Amino acid sequence: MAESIEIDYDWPELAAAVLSKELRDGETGSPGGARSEIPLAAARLAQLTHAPNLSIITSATGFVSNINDKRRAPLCALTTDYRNIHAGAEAVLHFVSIFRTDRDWFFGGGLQVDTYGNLNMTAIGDIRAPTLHGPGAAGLAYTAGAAKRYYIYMQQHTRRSFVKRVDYVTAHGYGRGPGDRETLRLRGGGPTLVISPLALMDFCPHTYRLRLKSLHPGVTLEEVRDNTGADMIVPARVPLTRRPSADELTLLRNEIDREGILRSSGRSPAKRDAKGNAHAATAGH
Amino acid sequence: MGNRASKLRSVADALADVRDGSMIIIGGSLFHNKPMTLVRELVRRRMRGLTVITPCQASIDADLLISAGCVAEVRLPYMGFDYLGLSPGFRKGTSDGTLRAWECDETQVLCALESAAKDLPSGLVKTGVGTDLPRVNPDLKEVQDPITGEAMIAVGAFKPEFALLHAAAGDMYGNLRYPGYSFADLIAAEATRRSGGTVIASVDEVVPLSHTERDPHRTDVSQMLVDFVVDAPFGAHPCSSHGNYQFDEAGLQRYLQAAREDAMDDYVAQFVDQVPTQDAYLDRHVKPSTIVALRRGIHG
Repeated sequence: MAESIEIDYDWPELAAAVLSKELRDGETGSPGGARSEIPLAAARLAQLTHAPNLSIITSATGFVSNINDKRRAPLCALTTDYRNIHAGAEAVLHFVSIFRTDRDWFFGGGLQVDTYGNLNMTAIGDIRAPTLHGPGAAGLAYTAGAAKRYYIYMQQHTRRSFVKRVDYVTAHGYGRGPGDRETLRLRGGGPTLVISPLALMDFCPHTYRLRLKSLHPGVTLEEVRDNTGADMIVPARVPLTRRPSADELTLLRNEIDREGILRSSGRSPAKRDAKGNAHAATAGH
Repeated sequence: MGNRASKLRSVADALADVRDGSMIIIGGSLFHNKPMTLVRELVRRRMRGLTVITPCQASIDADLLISAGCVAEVRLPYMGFDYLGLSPGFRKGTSDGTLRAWECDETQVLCALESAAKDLPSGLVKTGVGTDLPRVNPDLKEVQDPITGEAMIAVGAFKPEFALLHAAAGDMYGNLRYPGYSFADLIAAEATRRSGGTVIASVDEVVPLSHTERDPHRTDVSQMLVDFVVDAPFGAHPCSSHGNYQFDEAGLQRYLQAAREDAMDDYVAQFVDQVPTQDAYLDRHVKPSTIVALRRGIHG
């Protein structure tokens, strides 16, 4: 079926729409710590649609928020940005309380993700003389072991970022396969989805291996295969990722992200920086 | 009536006891509540061999110290500039072997600080079990819980000699107030004091004691934990003073740009050596219109 596909959104908007549906009413979660505009938008979209009783904790800033019936706030790339206080913050957790609050979900990313959903934030290559020394675990090692489930979002989908086995396990996904989390008595359930600019992936319930779930509209199977080094299961039939609906795009663009952070972050880094600068310069308006 | 002693000090006096090789902890997180006036003074003095701890995330605070050659070891859970990019000084130092990185998660640092604050030798966390963190950092010990036998990680207490914090307001006795989030500053101060160390706080504004007395509920760090207060208006710049002014993205970019152009010596000359006081720094590098925009930014 040769259907022409019109793409009238950027992939971070698609990611926000798809991930928002994963978050259930009444849950409590954290939208990750770095480059967090996608998970922040996903959680706020969930609150404005099917999950009005969802509680968002802005990670290590401790704001507990619900955006319903609140004034409009800018969408920020940082969960630690003070301006998140305007996105419906109703309480501020003490620092140690952040780590004692049971979380249904969180979002994280890394330099590398592997076949079993392990994340590397530590180093590429030998850590004694690394090709790249990563920024470090932040709180990812903790949350990957503790949250009931988590979602991995990768800003790039390449053979260098989707690898067979991570150079270093910073955050334990499924380790080397079934049984690992149980043996180690890790508290949470592990990663459930991985989203990238190209595709949505989940994990096979039997082997715990990464599995292609859907291709984003406009992306080919070959493109994903060519850019994936992980030992990913590719089912015989791979559907398209659900596009964001008109209602979702309206909410994202008119309520959640009026300054267009999601749209700029999906493009080239140069444009993202230029947009980021412009955004900072107009922060007072 | 007794005479209470003021804890107000100049930057130089407050940091006079820091020595080469000292272990310091810097408060705040990422681009927020970083005591940059204090950090620049350590750079100005060309300290050497420091161990730098941050309880949360580090960015220009630790990276500037690294780039200026002040640091032998970092113990921080995250080192980077988030959406602005990776940390240039850290990357260079770890690749050429001049910098040791003590790999860790923020809950492991928190455990090390809580242990110190309680005067305990170590603490247990679940964080890191099953990961490579104990392999890349042998100080994280893989142990069994003595009660249940469960796999755990033991972390030794940190004993910082100096804590460097930044708060929006403080009185002359050291009661600190944060209109935004105070991150882990309280526990950093507790761990440092319990270890016999010195807690130094820069503040955007020294307020009269009457401000503190009006609402003691809003004192986030008590004067009991604070040794010296440094009057440093916009002393977190180019970082934010959370809830008081936003971080200056262009100011952070200037640093990153200098690193990209291999011009860090020029950066240190212009932003540290040629501006010996906070007033000189502000006059030269922060336009009044920038200050106004960063203040307004707080309101979203």
